[in-house]
Amino acid sequence: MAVKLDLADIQGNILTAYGKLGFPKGRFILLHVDEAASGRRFATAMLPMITTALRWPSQRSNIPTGHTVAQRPLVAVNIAFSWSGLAALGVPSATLRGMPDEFIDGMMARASILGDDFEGRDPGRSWDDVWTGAGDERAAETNAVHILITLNAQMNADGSPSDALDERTAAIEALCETIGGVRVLPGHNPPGKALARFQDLSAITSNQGGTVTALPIEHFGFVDAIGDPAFEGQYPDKFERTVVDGAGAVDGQGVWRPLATGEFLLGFPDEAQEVAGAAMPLSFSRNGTFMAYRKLHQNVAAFRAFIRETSERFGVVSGIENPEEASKTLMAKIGGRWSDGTPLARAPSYAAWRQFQTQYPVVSMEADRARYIARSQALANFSYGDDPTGLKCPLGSHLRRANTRDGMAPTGREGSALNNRRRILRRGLPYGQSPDGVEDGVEDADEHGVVMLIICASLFRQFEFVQQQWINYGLDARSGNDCCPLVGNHSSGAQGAPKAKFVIPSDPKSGRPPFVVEGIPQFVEARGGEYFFVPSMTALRMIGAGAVDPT
Amino acid sequence: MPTFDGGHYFLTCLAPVLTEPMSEGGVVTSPVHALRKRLSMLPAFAQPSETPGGQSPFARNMRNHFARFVVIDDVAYNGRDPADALWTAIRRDNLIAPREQDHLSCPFLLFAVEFDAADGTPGERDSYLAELWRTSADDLRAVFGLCRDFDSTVADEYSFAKYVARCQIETTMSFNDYYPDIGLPSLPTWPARKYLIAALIIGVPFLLSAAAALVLVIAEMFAPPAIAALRIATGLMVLSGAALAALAATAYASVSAAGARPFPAASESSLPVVLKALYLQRAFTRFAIDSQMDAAGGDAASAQRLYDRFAKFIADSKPGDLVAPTQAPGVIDM
Repeated sequence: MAVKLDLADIQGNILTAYGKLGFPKGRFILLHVDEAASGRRFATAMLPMITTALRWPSQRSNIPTGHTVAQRPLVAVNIAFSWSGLAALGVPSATLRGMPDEFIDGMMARASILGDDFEGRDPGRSWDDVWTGAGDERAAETNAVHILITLNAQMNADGSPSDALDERTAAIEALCETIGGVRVLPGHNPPGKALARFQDLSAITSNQGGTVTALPIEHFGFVDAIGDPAFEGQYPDKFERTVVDGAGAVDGQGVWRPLATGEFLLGFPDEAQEVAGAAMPLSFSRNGTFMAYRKLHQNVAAFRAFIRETSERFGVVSGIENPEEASKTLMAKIGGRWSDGTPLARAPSYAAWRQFQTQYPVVSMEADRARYIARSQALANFSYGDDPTGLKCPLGSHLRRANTRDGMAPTGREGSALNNRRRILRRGLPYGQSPDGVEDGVEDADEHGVVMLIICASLFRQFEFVQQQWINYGLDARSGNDCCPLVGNHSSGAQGAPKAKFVIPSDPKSGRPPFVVEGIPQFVEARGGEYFFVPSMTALRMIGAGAVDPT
Repeated sequence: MPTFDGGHYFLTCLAPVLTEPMSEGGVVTSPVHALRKRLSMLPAFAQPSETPGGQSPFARNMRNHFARFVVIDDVAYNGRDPADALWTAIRRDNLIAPREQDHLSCPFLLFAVEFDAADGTPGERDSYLAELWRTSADDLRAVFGLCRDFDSTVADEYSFAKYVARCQIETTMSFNDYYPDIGLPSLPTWPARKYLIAALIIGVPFLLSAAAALVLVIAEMFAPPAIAALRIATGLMVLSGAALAALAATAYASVSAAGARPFPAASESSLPVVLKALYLQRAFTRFAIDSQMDAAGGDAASAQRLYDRFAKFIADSKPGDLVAPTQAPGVIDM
């Protein structure tokens, strides 16, 4: 009997990325609980608003829904709690102490592990006000982040969010008002700036003749959110087969299967065939999971300037004469994918990329379902077995670090065995604008970046491992101390430390030397974040009722 | 994995720690407490900016790869051995009666080091220990001085080597970071096949004779005894049984001997070579970064510049010279 998930008990943001499903607008709200009883009443009042993982009737995906249909909302609502939030709501000690260490510590305390302490910088001073409690000089404990509510909204034709977003926000604020003892924490802004009450988010959009469409790209210009893992129970049988290749686990023969459910949901067997221990009672943990909230500021101007300047030298060293081709190739070598998402593993050269684009043109699912699926599969389904030295896709590139696929198989026959326990689901949306082609219009000090929501059953084993060992260190990428050229913590060479560098290997047969770029500026900076528990509907009811019984 | 393996000596010793409370800094304290404090204050590694005095005592020689001190307070044993429930019931064991516990007579200091050695002889060990004493006598005295009989017996490098030798135990599981680059098929193997064939040759007559003897014994109950046949069968059974036992003993001895045979030394795995390699890796990376534009240039001038730079890199870094320039031992150079 295969895994059959109780979709109506699981929050919808775990199974799907709303951004891709027609919810390109977002608003994230952080709250503080002053009184446990009020907090519980608030949780209970939120319960009917929560968007579960039930499948909506959809023309796009053709996923069957079942008999009792949940209507597609204008705004998807989800809720999550920090550890101190659970404590503030009166969850019993026996349950709280069964929580993982990293969740209890919280993200700021893990800064040195996550590489968020750039050259000794203290996150307590550089993060947005809302995380440091510095907004009004009160002690941080009285402003600790307890509850996260994420709203994901549909978009109007003019690019504005559906009116339902403001209505939903008002309803939540009214709830705080009526109940009392729960309040919205403002301060989604850098220190010293005007207090922002919410974190507003939006997909980057294009405006063609007044019609605004959401683009699946992030501020540096890469198409994002392609390589999310697929796990057992996430999709119905028939649909699963169309997404599992490249997204699941691969054996030594190139056969893909979905990852174990327990890697992403608590209470299920994981890739080690263990049902990992979780906070008691089991009904509290089961169907829930953990989420890392990371507001990542992007230094767009620095990135664009870096690509412009470095691609000149890269072109000379690698023998690419066309400047456009050199800069696109440099970006691809850093990211591991071409800007439109085409993996280097399938299209290692500029010419091959152009050919890939012809073979797999961009089409919408509505226009041509078969070609849409063919392209999606081509973007996701690839491996590194034939590229052990990174001639096609550098071992140090962002993509190959974050998801090593079969690239670390000790003898080449183990498939993705060393990668299967290090996978994360990525949710979230960009914030701010960074108009392309307007060099002077974008400054690093502007508010733009991405709020990334990382979902996995063990933040320690999955998210923190990837961040510490693969993004911010180079041993497994056979790159010494080099870190990820895109999102790593780049050393500026202070205190005699070597400057951050990145190596693009070259085929010895070409007679050309490898290209080494030294002194990479900081492109991505954490501006805040926290670890959250994403409860099941059952757990949310228990929290609200004050009925979590660990005995 | 023996004490000497792959060109490295893996020294393990257990030194008994004093138990009588002592006075340190005007405070009467447990020797284990004082020992842990002194160990915690030993510098583990040095940043390049730090003074040479702040260096680990094990970085003051050119043979030491790894070193570890561990204080073992006691064994964790509550007196209860796991036993089969049925067996305890048959034996009518009284499970309520307390069992005898067992403890160490005193805490022990585990000292485990890996160093370059030509072979596993006591002379190689003692020469390392003597050098360690010559470079770090004060640090060693501070640590081992809290172990039994140290102060009264150790006065110089010879008596230090003798003391450590007294405390030495066999290393049965070593971790060597530098094994020779040989494929799995060429690893020394134990001739299991040969022993299996021998076991078959002896085992078949044994089983047959045993079966025959059994049949004859049973047949005796119903028919007149075939004494002569029984004798032959029993004799053959005893003989082949003895041969089988001898074979098992030989096989065991052979496996043990094979296990005790050290791996060959990995080439270029001595500390000076490893340090030089680390140095060259960094120096060459620097050279490669600085020269990449010349390396990419197709003209004669850039080729000449690359040639000159490489000549300078070779002249400056002296790849064949293990002494200098090289990376200092025990230094984590960011």
